[in-house]
Amino acid sequence: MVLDRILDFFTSLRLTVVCLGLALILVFIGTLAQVDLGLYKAQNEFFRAFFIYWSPPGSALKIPVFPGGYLVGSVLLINLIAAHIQRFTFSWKKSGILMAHAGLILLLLGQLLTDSFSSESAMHLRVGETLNYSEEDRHAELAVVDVTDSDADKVVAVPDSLLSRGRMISHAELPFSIGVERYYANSSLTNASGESFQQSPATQGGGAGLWMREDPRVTSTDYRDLPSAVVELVTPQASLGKWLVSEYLGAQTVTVGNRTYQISLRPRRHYKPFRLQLLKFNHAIYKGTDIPKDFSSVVRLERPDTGEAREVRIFMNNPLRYDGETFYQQSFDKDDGGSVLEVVHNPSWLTPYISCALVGAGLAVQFLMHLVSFAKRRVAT
Amino acid sequence: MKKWIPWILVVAFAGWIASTLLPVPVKDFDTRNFAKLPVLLNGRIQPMDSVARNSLLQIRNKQAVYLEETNAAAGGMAPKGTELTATEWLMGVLMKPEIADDQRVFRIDNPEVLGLLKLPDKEKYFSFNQLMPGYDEIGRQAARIDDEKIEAAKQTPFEKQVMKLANAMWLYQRLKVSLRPPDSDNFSHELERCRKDVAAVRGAAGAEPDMNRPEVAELAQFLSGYEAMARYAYPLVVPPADSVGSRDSWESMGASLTNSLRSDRIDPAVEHYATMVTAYRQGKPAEFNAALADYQKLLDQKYASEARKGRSEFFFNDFQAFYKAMIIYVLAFLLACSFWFNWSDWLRRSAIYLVMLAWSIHTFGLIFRMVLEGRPPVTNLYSSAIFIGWGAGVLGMILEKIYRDGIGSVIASVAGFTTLVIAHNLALGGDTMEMLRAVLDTNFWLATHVTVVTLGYASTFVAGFLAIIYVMRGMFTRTLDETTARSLGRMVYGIVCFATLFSFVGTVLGGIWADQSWGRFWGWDPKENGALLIVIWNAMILHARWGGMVRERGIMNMAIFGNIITSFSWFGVNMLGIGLHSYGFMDSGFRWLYYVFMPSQVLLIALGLLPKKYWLSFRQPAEKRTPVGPGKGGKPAAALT
Amino acid sequence: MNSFRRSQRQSPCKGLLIAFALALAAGGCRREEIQVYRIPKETAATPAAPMTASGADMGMGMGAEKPSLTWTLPSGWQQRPAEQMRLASFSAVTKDGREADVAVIALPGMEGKDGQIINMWREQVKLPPGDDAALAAKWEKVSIGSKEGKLFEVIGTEPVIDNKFPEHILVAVLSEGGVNWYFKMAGPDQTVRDERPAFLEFLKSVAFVNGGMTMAANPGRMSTNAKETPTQDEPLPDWQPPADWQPLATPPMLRAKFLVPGAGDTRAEINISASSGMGGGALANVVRWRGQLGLEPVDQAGLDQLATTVDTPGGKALIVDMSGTDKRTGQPARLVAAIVPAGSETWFYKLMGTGSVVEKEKAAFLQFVQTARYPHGS
Repeated sequence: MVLDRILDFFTSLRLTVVCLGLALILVFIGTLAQVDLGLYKAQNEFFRAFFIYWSPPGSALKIPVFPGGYLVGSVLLINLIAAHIQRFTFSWKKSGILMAHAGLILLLLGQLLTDSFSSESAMHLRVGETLNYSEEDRHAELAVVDVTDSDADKVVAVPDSLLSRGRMISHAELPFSIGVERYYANSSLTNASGESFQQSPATQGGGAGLWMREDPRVTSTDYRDLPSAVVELVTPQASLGKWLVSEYLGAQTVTVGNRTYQISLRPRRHYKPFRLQLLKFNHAIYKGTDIPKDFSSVVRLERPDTGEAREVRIFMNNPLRYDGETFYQQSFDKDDGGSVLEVVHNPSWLTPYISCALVGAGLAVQFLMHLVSFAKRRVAT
Repeated sequence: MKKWIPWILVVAFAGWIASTLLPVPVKDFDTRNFAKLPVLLNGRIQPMDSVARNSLLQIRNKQAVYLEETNAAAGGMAPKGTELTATEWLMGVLMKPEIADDQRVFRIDNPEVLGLLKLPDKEKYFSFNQLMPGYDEIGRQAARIDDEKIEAAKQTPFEKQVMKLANAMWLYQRLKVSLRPPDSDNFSHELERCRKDVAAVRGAAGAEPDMNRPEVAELAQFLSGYEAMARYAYPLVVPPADSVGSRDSWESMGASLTNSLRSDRIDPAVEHYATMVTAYRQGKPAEFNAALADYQKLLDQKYASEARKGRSEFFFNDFQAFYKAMIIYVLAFLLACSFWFNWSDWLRRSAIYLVMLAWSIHTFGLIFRMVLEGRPPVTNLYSSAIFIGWGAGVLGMILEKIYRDGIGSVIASVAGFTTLVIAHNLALGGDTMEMLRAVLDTNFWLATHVTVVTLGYASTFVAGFLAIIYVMRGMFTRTLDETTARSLGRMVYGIVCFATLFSFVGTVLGGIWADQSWGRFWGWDPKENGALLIVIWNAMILHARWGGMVRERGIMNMAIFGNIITSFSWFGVNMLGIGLHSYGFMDSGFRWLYYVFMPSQVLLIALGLLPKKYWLSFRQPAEKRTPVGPGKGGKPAAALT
Repeated sequence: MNSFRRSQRQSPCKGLLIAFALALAAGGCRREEIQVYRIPKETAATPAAPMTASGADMGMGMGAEKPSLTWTLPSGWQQRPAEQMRLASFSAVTKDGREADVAVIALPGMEGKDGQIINMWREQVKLPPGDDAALAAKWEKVSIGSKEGKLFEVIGTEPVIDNKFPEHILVAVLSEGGVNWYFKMAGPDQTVRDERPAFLEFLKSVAFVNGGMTMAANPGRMSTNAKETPTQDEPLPDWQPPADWQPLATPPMLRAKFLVPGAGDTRAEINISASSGMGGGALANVVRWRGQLGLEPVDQAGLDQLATTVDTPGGKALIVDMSGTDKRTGQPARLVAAIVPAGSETWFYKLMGTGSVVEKEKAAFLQFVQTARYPHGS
């Protein structure tokens, strides 16, 4: 029966070997690709995808030419689980392999979960500065902040993925609709005409009269994209004009009726119910060299609603774990007056630890058993 | 008689090793004790000897100088044909550079560079004076390469040689001003004058200096010399004045002297060194040795641990454990190979005993390094090479103990020898005990992740070399009989299992470390990917074997391919120059890896794939020449252990 | 039988996998929606930030210690890297490409010194000096942001720029909290006249912001781990030497040295040194200086009569002003010196040279001494 043939296929050891072979090739070409594409882009195109596509030059056609990381990983996972369910016979002799495979399943699942649910952002603090949010520098948002009230602001954040689609954006909480006329994922702005710059169509705000240019996305990990967009704000009554929003410009003020709003295009923010203040940053190097010896930040953690207030030292290999997030010492300002903490939210962070123990123990058990039986046989002869 | 040969060999070599430990009598200048003086360089305390050796390695790829020709002027310098130890050479550079400038220490291999500098192209070693006319040109070329940011992996051989030479010349000049002001003849005397001048200018009140006095001009001259020393000195030789506080703030001679001008105090270390310099220049060994002894006494009082470190590291350098081990490994290899053609047990035992001796020296060196650095065994590429050889040696010795057919000895000796040669080449970049950057500064993860993953590399290599033995013996000799083939098959299987375990656990531990450091368990970094490739390949071998998709020969070929993958993961990814792990790459390794080693493995696999009829051992039933030893025959054989 | 058992086992397994895949898809898409939330009030609004070309590293993001200003650049003006004492630096560019230099400088402790500063500018455009009080009184009212400041104008008559154009300096001064903010435009006469309206617009757009980082977070380069090792062994104090002092190579045992050329071959030199502790005491040093001028020594009583004191951040500094004959040159010379306590050190500033030059420089010298800030605190 066809079903049987499918099942046989999915549970076969041959499939395992083929998948492992594909994984080998995939990892190898993905590693080489990083030289030109950069780590991040190569990751997304080779490993975090179901297929690797190739576009013939000059056309927008995307032809899948090789399975990507997700496809190989899923097939391996199905193969592993299916084979075990089908041939599940618990015996002490196989306990090592079972443990090892269980650990492997856990690892793969855990990594898939991490890919979907984890988020990374950063907090850049100058010494003395206090922040209660972190920023993602690979994603931007158009923030419309209602600053009329004196006690609190209301933020409506439109993610860059919606902006890049170019469609009209409306939302119950937005005082106006946002029509995206132009969105550059990476851009340059200047106030005088330059080569390949175009005059911005903005009619209002700081962007009017500026010149803008779309730039290719950055590939190196030392730089990041700086997006700009031209948006038209439309209320039911009238258009409020076209505005140029960009990370190069700060917030711009828009008034609708008797409420004041600030709009800005900024790195995506994640606000936290607590704040961190950088008290001290220490950067020690070995005398006479430029090899870094130690980076550490002393921060003050304050949480208004619970009254919690304490000082924490964050340094290499010693992050702060708080409120489901982990804060790592990532880098620092060149003048040593500021520190960058990386904030990671990863609900499945424990899976690799458990998996490592399981697989290690499983393999060790299995091979020890082999070794013991081998030794017994040699003694017998 | 023959059964004593193994012991005789061991005793002979042990004797040779012991002989190098004998104290060396002092003749003329006490260079050996000078070599033990501690200085701060590259962020760590090291003896002058290490400074000398590492500098020479960068300048001429060797740790000693053989004077083929020199304009040996009178004044205590060695005549033609002698060999200078690293420290003897360094003393010349530090204290009497006008002689050192004529010694042919700089090595140039590339003919284009020789042409650029208008140097005779039959020769390889040149003196500083010979290179000076072309100095501007070298500087220009180096600046161009620097400006264009051409990475080392992408440089042409000409560019690589230019950069190497430029660095070597720069290093040499820095050494020249590390201990003595440029053009100073009698340093002690000048120091006295300097002291008097300072006192005169400061006057009785000791406050604001009187800039109108005539001594100011002479002081200005001294100061410009000291400032050059402060700016360019290579090792920092003056210990901190205050031994109770921070012991890290060593200073260069120049910085210490410039500070002296403001504080009226000349550091005693400076005085001692100045006396030594003057005595050396004037050819007075007695005075030199006296000043040296005084300085050592001072150090022992205030900086005993630094002085001890200087002495131990000098001993380590002098002993040359890895070089000695290398020699013994080679002999062991030859003996083990001959065993396969002769089958005399004394050959086999000689081989394994020598392997054990070499391995002990190897271990001694490894542990001594750990103690000197205060770190687990593997901290950089150099130490990973040492450790892989050591680990392979362990596996080889175990295999030999079990199977007693010489294969284990061959593995241990080949691995030991090759990895030590690789390590020696890696040392050409300079200091191998450099301080670790902050993110690596964690002994826990270095001891766990790095050690385990390196053992994973070592075992995959061992499996690969076992497979090579299989192919070589099977193809080119008739010694691959069924028993040997079966043994090899079991060995490879066992080692691959071991390799899977260690490479997997090691890789995952690396991910956990990354999670603790950067919050990211897996980042698809090239080094991480390389380790993953090894895990996947080892798993493939096991699964293919279990599924019956490959048999004995197939497994051997797969194991040889494992060598290619492991060498890519160990070295190849470092040469890509990207990712978080791109620290520690080597220059000429690229050529060796991609043009020699990997093609050789491909060739061996191709041979392994040839049908059986082309194999010498399989063409006709191989002569049942089994080795004398247990495991093959019956019980009586077992008694011969 | 076998296949039945198999399929029985497979369906829950497959169902699980499908559910899992859907969950993954959902989790992945979660981020791409509009988010609405409330946050407590943030301190400063972020007005329009200055522009750069092509996202080059501005350097403004780093200077958290410098006072914070924002402004709107008139069209055509370009921002330049701010060096030394300037907070900001621009080029005012006319339509046909002519440029004038615009600088923003903040100096504390300049009360009552307007006249001296104006004389300094007059000298720069090669005008003869005028009376301090009279010059200080001649100004126009000008709006700087929401505040009012004084606008001074100095127009030269001699061609000083490229030997063709007279120089025109237009300065708006705002005194606020002990600090004088100078917005200065200088350049060829016609260019400055042409850009005057733009300059006034620029002044109106200036705003002072309290505390924190108000500029858009440093665009362009992210922090990398590269670190340049500092080269200086002994840091100099944070001081602002007048523009016409030429720094000279530091001789041994001095910390800094400047030269002020005067008319003809007249000149004065400023020697600066420091000693730990008291440096031998004021009397010993004054006696030594008197010796350099060929004067008789004095005792403590004589010193008390001779010396005056001024305030500095570290305490009271002793000032002496003496005239005599320079023993090195045989010419008449004048010497003004300051002995300044600075924490654990004492700093000695000595201005010595031809009488006329010293006279001219005395005020600037004293101000320089008083505004120097020492790195190890006092």
